[in-house]
Amino acid sequence: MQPRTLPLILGWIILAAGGILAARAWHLREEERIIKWPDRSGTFRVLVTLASLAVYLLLMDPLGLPLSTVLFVAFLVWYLGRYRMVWAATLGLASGGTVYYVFIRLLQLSFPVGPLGR
Amino acid sequence: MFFSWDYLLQGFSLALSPTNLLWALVGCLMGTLIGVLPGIGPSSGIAILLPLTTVVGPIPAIIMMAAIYYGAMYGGSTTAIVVNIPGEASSVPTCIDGYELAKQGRAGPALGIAAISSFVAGTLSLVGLTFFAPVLANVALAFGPPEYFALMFMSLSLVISLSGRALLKGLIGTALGLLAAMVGQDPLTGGARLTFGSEELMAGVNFISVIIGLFAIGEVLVNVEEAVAYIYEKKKLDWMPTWADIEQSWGAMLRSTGVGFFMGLLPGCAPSVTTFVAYDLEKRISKHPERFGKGAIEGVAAPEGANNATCSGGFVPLFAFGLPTGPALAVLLGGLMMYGLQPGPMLFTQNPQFVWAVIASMYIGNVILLVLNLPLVGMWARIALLPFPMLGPLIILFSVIGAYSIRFLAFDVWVALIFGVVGYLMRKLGFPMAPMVLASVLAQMLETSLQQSLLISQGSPLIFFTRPIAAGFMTLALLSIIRGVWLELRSRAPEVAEEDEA
Repeated sequence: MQPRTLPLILGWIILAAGGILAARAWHLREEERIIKWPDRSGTFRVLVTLASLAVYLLLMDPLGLPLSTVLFVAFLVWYLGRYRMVWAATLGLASGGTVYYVFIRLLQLSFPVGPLGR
Repeated sequence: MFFSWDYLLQGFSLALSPTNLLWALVGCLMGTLIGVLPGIGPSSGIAILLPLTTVVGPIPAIIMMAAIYYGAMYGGSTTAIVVNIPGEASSVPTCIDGYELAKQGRAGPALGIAAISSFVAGTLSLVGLTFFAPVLANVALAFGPPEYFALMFMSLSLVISLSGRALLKGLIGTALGLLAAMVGQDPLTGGARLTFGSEELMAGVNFISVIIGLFAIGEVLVNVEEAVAYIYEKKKLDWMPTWADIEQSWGAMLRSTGVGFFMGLLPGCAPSVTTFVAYDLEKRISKHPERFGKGAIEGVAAPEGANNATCSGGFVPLFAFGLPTGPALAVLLGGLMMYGLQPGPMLFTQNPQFVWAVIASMYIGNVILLVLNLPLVGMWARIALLPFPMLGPLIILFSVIGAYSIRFLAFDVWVALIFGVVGYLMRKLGFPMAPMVLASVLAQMLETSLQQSLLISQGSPLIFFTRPIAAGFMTLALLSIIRGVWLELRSRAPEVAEEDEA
């Protein structure tokens, strides 16, 4: 067996099953739709959440885990909950501090620490 | 490997000495705490805590390790139930019904049943371990690559049929899960595939990232989109399981003990397989299978019991051959070897007091866990009362930490992010999650055993049907496929995964 054998077989399975699904969907096109696609604001919220997660990951190396955590949690809590800035910032600081203390100081795991140092 | 009352009693007297009891307690507590940290599963939890055991002597250290192991296993299911983050593949079936229960304000009963089921199954299979270990050890020897392949093929086909009427979607999920896990190197030859020339993809896609993405991040995205204010709207929480809950799930506890223990004897058959099989079994024999996936308490009892039974069953091959059956046991094996214990046929003759002290302390660890955890249930259950705009970011934070700490690679977190989007889309389109998860967990063993079998048989697939055990599993697999196809052909309704039907 070649390394490519199984992946190729799987590719064909997916293609075939997807084809059958599509054919069935064609047959059922008159019936009511089950999928609830989000409205515009819902899509926007999902995209902002994903983007903030991506920024969090990109900042993790230069800023370190604790600092980027503060920014990420503060931003997302503020964005999703419409809380006051102060409250969101407090929560961010608290989670950043906990992460720093538990995972970096106490358990000594090798997360990026950033400019704060150990 | 032999049994004598003398050794067992001696073991108990060692394990029950006040200092050793204290270390068992400390181990259980630490194990639970680290297991509860969302995203950190039992195996990484044990690995993190191993160095701590060096402060005490060898026997208390090993007792403590076993306690940490049990504690971490139990702690892992807490996060699965309360925030839908399975720390290990074995907690995935627990998520399915456990998180539904939490959303109904019944996280307390779910956690309580999980603790009770773990205790019952753990203790019963310890009895099995104590008395029948020598006989059982031989069962494992009858398993070669063809049997493993057949077994895993069967679990996959069972789980696909678990997706009910969404058979094709389950099949696609399975194929995608296998495909994702095949990125990187061929397990036998080391040839690279699906890497598109990228060095990071050579290391492969870790299934923990896949799980965290599909479950935790995907669920958060769905809640974000719908601007959910609370995952549980009402303020009233159920604290403890009622007698009705226990009555409803005791059958599941016993059956899952059997499934978990006997499958746990097979080297390589990790709790990730047995928990799915136990869940599937309960769903099949239930009089109300439609309740599964919508908060059936048996759906929590079965995988939790099977998980613990498999862990105890796994000690048989570990002690007898030095073969760890799952990632967590492999870490534990490392710990045992740190103390100069070489598990294998000679262990029971050379270090009887060690072995029996560990076995005795496992009984005690199970009791301690139950006593320790039932009072804590209320505290964990309250997490469901946090407003979602606060809970959501924290779930993502812990998912990131969990995915990162697998190999300390940012790459694994990106994988989790991508699978978070996949999980979101799968929820929207009515794809079942379980087949994809199990497929990504089993892919490597499935492929390895398939290739080895074909090497043995020089390329003839008949090898899976000429060996009795393998043939048995294959027959079951084929029957379940035929049944699934038949059900599929009968219904002409559009495909929707049962677990997602609103």
